Amino acid sequence: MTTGRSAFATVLLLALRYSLLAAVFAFLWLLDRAFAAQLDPYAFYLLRLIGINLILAVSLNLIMGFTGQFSLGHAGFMAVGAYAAAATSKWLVAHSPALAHSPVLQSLVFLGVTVLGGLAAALAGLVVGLPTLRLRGDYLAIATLGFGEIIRVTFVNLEAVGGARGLTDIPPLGVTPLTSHFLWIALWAAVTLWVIYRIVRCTRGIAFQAIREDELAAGCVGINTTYYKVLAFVLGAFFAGVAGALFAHDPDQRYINPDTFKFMKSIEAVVMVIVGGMGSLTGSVMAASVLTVLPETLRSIGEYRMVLYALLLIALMLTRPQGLLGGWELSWRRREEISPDDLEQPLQPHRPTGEPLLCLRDCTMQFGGLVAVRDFRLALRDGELVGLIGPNGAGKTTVFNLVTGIYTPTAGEILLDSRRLDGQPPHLIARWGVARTFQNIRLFKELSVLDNVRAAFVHRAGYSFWAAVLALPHQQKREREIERKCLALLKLFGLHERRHEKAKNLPYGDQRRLEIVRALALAPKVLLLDEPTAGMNPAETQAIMLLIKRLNDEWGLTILLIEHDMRVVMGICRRVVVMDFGEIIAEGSPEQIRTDPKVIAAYLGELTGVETTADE
Amino acid sequence: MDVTQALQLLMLGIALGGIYALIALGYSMVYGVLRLINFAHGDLIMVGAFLGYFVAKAPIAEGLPLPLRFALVFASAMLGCAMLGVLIERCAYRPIRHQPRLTALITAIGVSLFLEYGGQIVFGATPRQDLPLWLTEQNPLMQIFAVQITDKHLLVLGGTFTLLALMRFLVLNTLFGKAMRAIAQDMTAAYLVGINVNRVIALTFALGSSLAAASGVMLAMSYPKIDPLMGLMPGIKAFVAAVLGGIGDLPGAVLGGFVLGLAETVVGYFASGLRDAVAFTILILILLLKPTGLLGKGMVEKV
Amino acid sequence: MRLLAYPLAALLLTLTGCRKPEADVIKIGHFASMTGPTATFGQSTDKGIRLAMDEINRQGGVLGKKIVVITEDDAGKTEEAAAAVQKLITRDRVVAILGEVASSRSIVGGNICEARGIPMISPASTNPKVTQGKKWVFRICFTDDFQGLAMARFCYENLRAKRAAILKDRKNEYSVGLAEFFAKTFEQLGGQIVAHENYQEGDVDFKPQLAKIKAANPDVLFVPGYYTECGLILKQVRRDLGMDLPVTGGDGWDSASLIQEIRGDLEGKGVYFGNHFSPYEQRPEVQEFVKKFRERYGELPDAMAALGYDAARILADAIQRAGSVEPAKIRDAIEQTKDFPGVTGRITIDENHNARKPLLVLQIKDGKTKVVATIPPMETTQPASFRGTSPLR
Repeated sequence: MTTGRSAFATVLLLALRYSLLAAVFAFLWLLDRAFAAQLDPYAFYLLRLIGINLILAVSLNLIMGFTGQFSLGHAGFMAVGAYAAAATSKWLVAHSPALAHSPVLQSLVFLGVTVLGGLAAALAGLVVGLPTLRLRGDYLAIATLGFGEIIRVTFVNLEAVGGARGLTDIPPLGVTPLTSHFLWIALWAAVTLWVIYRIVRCTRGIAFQAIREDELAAGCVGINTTYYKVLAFVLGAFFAGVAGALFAHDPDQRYINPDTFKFMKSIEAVVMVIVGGMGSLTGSVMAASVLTVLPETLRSIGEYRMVLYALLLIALMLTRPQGLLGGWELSWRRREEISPDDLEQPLQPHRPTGEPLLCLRDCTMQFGGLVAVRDFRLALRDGELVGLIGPNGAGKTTVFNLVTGIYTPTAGEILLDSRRLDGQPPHLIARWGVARTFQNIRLFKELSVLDNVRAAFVHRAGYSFWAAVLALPHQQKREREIERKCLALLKLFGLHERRHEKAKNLPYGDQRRLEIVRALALAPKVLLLDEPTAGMNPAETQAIMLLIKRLNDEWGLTILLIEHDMRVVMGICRRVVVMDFGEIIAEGSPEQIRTDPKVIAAYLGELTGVETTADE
Repeated sequence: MDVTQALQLLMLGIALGGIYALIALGYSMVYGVLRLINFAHGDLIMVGAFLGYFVAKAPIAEGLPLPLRFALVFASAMLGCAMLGVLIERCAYRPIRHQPRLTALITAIGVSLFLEYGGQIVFGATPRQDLPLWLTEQNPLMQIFAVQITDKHLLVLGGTFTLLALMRFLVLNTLFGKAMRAIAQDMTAAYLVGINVNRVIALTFALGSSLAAASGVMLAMSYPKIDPLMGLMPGIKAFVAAVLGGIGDLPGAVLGGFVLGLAETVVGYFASGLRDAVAFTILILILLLKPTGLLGKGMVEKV
Repeated sequence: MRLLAYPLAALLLTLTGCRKPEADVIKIGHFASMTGPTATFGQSTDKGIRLAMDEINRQGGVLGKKIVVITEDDAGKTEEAAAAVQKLITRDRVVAILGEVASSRSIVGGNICEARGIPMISPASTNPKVTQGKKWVFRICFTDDFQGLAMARFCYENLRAKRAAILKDRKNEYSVGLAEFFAKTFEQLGGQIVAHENYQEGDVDFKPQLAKIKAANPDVLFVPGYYTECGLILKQVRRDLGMDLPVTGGDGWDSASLIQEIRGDLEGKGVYFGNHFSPYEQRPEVQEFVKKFRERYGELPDAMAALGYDAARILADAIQRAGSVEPAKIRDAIEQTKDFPGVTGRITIDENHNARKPLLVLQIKDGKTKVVATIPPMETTQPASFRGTSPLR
């Protein structure tokens, strides 16, 4: 919109980019030929080992570092890839003698075999991922550890692939007069890095890190968390499978047995990811190199080498607790900055119809014996700004959790326009137009301010991951559009200057504002604000309240506002609902509420002196 | 399979489970407070077993009457491991206590590798199979319904439940235990109310490590094979048992140990080749039904 | 692509190793598991190899040159075994390689030696695949086929057993191989396998399997595994299950600590295992080796040490006969090895690069071993494929 770049220029640019890529591969090929012409088979072997470990570490980093899912079963995926590929290529070579005579055919077959290994592992990743990803943290770790072992035991018992004795004489298909195995590993390492780099960097890929930072909040900005977690597992498993296939066919290996893929192999991969830095691909590359080469360089001290290796590992983590590179990433192209001065209006004014928009009908939420919300009814009309107040523990936040799908009501129904919301997952409700903020701020702390807002565009990115990987023009264009929208919103709240800062480094008030921006980025029909002024000083409170009023007045946004402090709500809401002990005790204009004896009693605590914590 | 065999199998499973439970108990002490996946716990078991072995073989111990020797072996192994545990905590875990949890996992792996490979240099790689320590010569100790029960079964089971009761008492009924629980909930807040966090954590490590030593000696008594890598598998199994039971829950860890031991034994009887696969399948199924472990409290996330 | 700079830079670290051609020594490489789960094997073979080479060097070396042994640890992993062998060939420029005990690592190392044209002698890998179809790889021990077969014959013919039970390590290639050949031969001889149970490395409790075996009422139990588990199994057989039948095993049982343990009630109706070597054998070469080994290391040699010793001496002998340190000539000379008087028996390398030598059956009594039978080499130590026809006709 702002650039007048013609289609021709775009094509030219793309061509340039891919020819650069081709030049890099040509360089790699020359390097490969130099090695193959024979310099140093030992170094060459280590280089290949580094490449394989690199693919393992980078692929596990997608699962652990970016998506935050603790997996101890990566060696299992590697095993699946190794066995699938090796068994296939053994069969192919035995059944088609012609293979050996055509380097091109052999290379094509090898490419197919590695991809097959990857696909087999990806399938395993899907099978493992679907049931286990509802587990979290160490529970997930144990489940993945278990799957890794199950996979290994399966191969031990599979006589067709050699059982415990392993699979011997795997044909080194990667070695032809044109290529060496190193070239294949370098190629796949580059592909792995490129694909994962592109994926985690694009707007859709923000989903992974959002899940790592806060799964619940990710769901509430429209991210299908299950889908992305499974996707991370499947993708990670795919590349681990490729690594397995490459390992099995290595001319200096050509043999696999189930022992190779023991639990400790998974641990090695985990060590590489953490030593490199969770969420840093550059770090994984470094760690894979260092940790592969280190035991080799220590050979001169004989039996003490593993002891020293262990000490170095401890020392490394003590001096660099965040890993070698923390979350830092090598980036070779500066993002083109968008000037904040020429941004379009971020919000489209909406003319309120006054029709009922969000309706809660007799909603009850029961936790065991505790009734947090009872027979709650509310009809929020389009364009309204309603305050929901009540003492601590009255059940206000529970109402929000019911509307946004975090809880499913025990009884009653919730409707947006005429669509049932109850029983639907949070990400769908968010996509249909209900956005929220949280009482205790739930930002994606380690992500930049801009990325926090971009997370709300994950489901509307409008391109596939393929487009992102290939950096197709429509994807790039769309990325710029999204960024402009995000910036415009940030500017509205005065946050655009800090867009590259990490969310956790913002001052408290800015964090609250950022959460509202993130919610607005969903272009919601209804905005639910949970104590947006909590912890703010009077001046800050005033500013936020004015802004909320502006959202409602100028753009006609429907807002339901939870406040603890009555005075705040009284100032801006035309209608106020008061809750106590999970029930509505009063409803009406601020004036009516102010004088309602039940409300006064609830607040002054005449009815009860004890606070429950039902809304927590 | 007749009833006797089934009962015998059950007894075997319980005996093996007792060992796992004992190890998991020590594991869970540290795990519950720091959420640290103490990869080195298994290796402390190994160190404990070696200490017990050397003390039992020492000339002083050989002259003592059995109960005294027994006490001496356990006491010295537990004391030695407690000191080692405190040292490890001081050097490898405390400096990074406020770093991401997985950083400590790596130093724990480092400590584990150090103890294993260091052990291979110091103790040699050849296993010792002759721990001169036993309760009675009578074997089996008794038979109930033709089910053979040995002294070691009783020792392991008795030890497990005594220590479980002791630890539970410690955690729930003493000031020290209260401090531990406070730290587990919120370390910063614990500081603020004046708890000497460093000391409590050091003591927790001492406790966990001495439990490791006790289980190491018992493991070596039941299955006399003492070598530098003997702790690797039990350590992992303890982690599995502790998680299965519910993170940080002591009775849960013990229960997890028994479930694991029983699953392995029973599956091992019917399909020895597939034992691990089936045992892990059962574990995964349990976790899918109870995502926070057998006795773990469902952590209701504050929204 | 700048990312590629990192591995390259890291690799420079390893490139600092210097290469000095030393004309006055002959370099031999040994790759072994000096650390890790199978460290005892690697450490034992290394002791045997070093004893042999020092002895040869004291007597003036080979071809007037001293032999230098360079040992590289593989920590019990195939990928490190490959690195170790590549390092020995590339950096140290060894003329021949000795190693490994575990067949998996010997297969990987053998692949590399095959590609680089360096002769390799495995002291103790018994999997047929190690030498099968290899031009440069040899072994000086018998194969799993032969060992399983010989133990079956011993059980059937010497122990007169008709019903045998097998308890094997399901995940161990060696154990699986032995069990398979034992079962096949035993049944062909007319016996019956009444129970076939499994365990796994690292297990400590075998009672469930043993309970099942006991129920099948066998005459003999065959436990082809490593001594670490076999010691525990034997104790549980005798003490927990109260079975007094003969228990037999393979060369994986060979360990001083296990043997010393077995006495009194553990003996039952006999504990036997097939082996390459017994330190109690009265042949003079054996007794001299035992004496020298004891002087140097203060312990009794086990079979791995003896096999390492023989492998090193066969290699030195081959270099001497080759009259050259050229790998190809050494290879040819190894191939010609005939009736070499090793401490593990008279060794002849057959056309398939395997050793033709007898198997000793040892009985363990009072913490010592005694040779009770010698099963001669059979016509059939050809590299039978696992699915191939039986060597017994």
